[in-house]
Amino acid sequence: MKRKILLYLLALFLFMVLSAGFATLYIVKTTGTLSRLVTLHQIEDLRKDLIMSIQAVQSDLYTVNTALGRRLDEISDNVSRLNKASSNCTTCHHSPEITAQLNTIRSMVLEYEGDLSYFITTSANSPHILKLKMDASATGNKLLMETGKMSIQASSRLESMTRDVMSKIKKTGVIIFGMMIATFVFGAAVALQLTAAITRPIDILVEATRRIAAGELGFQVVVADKTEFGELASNFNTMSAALKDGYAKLETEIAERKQTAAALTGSESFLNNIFNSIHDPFCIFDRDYRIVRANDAYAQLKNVQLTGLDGRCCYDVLYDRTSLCDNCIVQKTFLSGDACAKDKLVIASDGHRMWLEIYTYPILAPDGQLSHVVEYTRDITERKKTEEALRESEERYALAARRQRRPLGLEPAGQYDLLLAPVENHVGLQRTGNCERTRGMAGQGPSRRPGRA
Amino acid sequence: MKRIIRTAYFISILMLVPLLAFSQASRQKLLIGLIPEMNVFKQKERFRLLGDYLSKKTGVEVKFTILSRYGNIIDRFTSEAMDGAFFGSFTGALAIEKLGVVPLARPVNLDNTSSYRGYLFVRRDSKIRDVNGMKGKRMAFVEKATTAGYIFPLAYLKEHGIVDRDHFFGSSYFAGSHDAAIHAVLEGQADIGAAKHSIYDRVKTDDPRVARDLVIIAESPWVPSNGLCVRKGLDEGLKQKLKQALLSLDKDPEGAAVLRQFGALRFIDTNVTDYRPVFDMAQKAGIDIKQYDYRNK
Repeated sequence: MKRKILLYLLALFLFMVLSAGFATLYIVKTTGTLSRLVTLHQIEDLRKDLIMSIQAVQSDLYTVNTALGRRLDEISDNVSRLNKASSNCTTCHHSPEITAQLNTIRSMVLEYEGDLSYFITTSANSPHILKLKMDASATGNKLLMETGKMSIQASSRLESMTRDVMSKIKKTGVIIFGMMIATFVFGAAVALQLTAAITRPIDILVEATRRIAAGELGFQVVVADKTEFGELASNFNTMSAALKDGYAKLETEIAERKQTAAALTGSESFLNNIFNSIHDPFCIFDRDYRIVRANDAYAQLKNVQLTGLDGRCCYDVLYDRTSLCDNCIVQKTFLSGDACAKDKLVIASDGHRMWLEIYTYPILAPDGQLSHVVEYTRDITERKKTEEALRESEERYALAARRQRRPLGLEPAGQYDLLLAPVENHVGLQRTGNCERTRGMAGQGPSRRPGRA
Repeated sequence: MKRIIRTAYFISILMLVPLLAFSQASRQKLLIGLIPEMNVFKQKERFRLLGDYLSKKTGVEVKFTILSRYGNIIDRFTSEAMDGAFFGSFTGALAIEKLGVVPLARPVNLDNTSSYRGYLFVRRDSKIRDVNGMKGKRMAFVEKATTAGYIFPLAYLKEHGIVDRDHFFGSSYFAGSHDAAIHAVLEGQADIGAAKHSIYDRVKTDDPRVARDLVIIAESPWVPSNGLCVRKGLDEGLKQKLKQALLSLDKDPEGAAVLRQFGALRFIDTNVTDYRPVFDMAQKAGIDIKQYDYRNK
C-alpha cells in the first residue's frame, strides 16, 4: 500500500513538475520575446528621436541667417543630438540588411552634417551658397525619407511582433490555465483512487466487524489485495475463525461450568441441608479463626443471627473480644493438629445454666496442611443434671446406708440395679463402677472419624 | 568671554552659508569663441572634452561658442563679451592689434608641429601648376580673416604679380572652412583651393581621394597654429590657471583623452612674437592689419 501511495504521489508530482516546466519554458520564451518587444519599442523611441532631430536640423537649415534662425551653438547642439541619435541606432544588434541600412543612414547624417557646415560657413557667393543650401536640404530630405521608410518598416514589424507576442501571451495564459485544470483533475483522480484504495478495504473490514458483532462469528472477507490490506484481511479471517472456535469452546466451557455450578449448587444445597439437619451446634473455622460456616443450632446457641456470622472472628462475634479466648479449644486443635474435646459450663442470656460438650476436629487441605477446624457442640445439660441427680441420689443412698449401717454393696445386685437403672437409662450412662467419666480421646462421640463434622 | 566667542563663531558660520550659496549661484563663467576651422559641428565636438577639462581645473565654467565666420570673431569678441577665443593665426594677429588680446598657449599637432602652413592645391587632372594656370579659374578661399585660406594666396598672387584677384579668377568665393575649400576642389566645385596643411592632412587621412586626386602647387611659410588668446582685462590668476591647465594637459592622465579628441600632442606657451610671420605675410600681401576689413565680400 505504501508503495502504491508513493507511486501515485510520484506520478502526480511528476505531472506537476512537467506541467510547471512546460509552462515555465513557454513563459520564458514569451518573456524573452516580450523583452525584445520592449526593447524594440524603446528603439522605436530612438527612431522617433532621430527623425525629430533631422527635422529640427532641417528647420534650422531653412531658418539660418533669418530672423527665425537659431544661434549656431543651438544648431550645433541639434546636429550633435542628430549625430548621437544616429550612432545610437547602430549600437544595437541588427540583421545584416538592417545594419547596412543603418550604416547608409549614418553616412547620410555625416554627409548632411558636412553639407550643413559648408552652407553655414560659406559666404560671399550667393549662388554657391544657395547651391550648398539646396544640397544640404536635399540630403536632409533624403535622410528624412530613408529614416521615415525604415521607421515605417520597423513600426510595421513591431506591430506584427506585438500582435504575435500578445497572442503568445494569451496562449500562455490558456496553457497555464489548462495545466492547472489538468493538474487539478489528475490530482483529484489520484486522490480518489488512493482514497478508494484505502477506504474500500476498510469498509469491507468494517462491514465484516459489524457482521461479527451481530453474531455472525467466523465471517470471512474475500482476500484479493496484495497490499497490507490484504494481509489485514487475511489476519482478520484468521481472527474471525479463531473467534468462532473460541466462542464455541467458551460455550462448551460455560455449559460445563453451568453443569458444574449446578452440581456444585446441588452439592452445596445438599451440604447445607446436611449442615442444617445437624441439630447440634456445628461450626467451621479457618486459620484466622473466622467463621466459615455455621448452622442454625450454632447461631441459636450463641444467640446471634446466622447471617452475621460468616467471615467474622469467633471471639469477636460471639464474645465481643479482640483476641482469642483463654484455653480456646479451636486454637488447641490448630496448634496440635489433633481433635480435642472439653466440657464447658455456659450461662445463657436468660440465666439458665447449660453444660456443653465441645469437640474440635482438624480439616486437612488436599496438600495435607491443616486448613480448618470443625467445632461440634453438644448440649449435655440434661446429662449433667442427671449425673448431678445421680450423684445426689448416691449421696443420699450413702447417707441412708450409713444411717442403716448396711453396706449397700451387699444388697443383691438386682436391688441396686433396680435403684439405679432408671437413672442410667434416663441419662444413658454406663456404669463403670465409679463416678468418673472417661472418654476415649480418639474421638468418641457422635463423630467416629476425625476430620469430619 | 566664552559665550562671546561661541556666539561670534555661530554668527560667522551663519554668514558663510549665504556667501557659499551666493558663490555657488554666481559661479564664474568663461566664454571662449571657436572659429570654423573645419566642419563647425565637428569643431564643437572637438573642443567638448577640453571645455570640461578646463572647467574642472580652473573651477570656472568654460563654455565654447562656435562662430560661422572667421571674421565674426573680432566683432563678437566685443559684442558678446567673450573672455577668450581660439584665434587663427591671422585673426589672432588682428585681435592682438585691434583688441589687445593676450596669447596663452597653442596646440602641437600630431606631426609634432605647432605651426602650420598654407597650401594652394588643384586637381591632379587639371593643367594648373602655377599662377599662370590659375587665370580665369574658380578659386575657393576660406575666409578673408584666415592666413592659409586667404592671406597666403593673396601674398602668393602678389608675389607673382597678380594684384586684382577679383578679375584674375573666373570666380571666387569663400568656402567658410578649410575642409570646405578642400572638398570644393575635390568635388569639382572649384579649380583651385587654399587651406591650412593640418586640415588638408586630416582630410587626406579620412578621404583617400585627396591624395589621389589633388596636388599641392604652393606652400606658405610656417605660422603659429590656432591658439588660445584671452582678453587683457581677465583676472591674472585665472589667466595663469588656464595657461597652466593647457600646458600640463599632456602630463595629466585625464588630459590624454582630451588631447586625443582634440587631435594634438600637447599645448605650448605662446606669446606675441610667435605671430611675427603673420604680420610679415600680411605686409607682403599689402594688408594693413589695423585697418583691415575682414568681412567676406
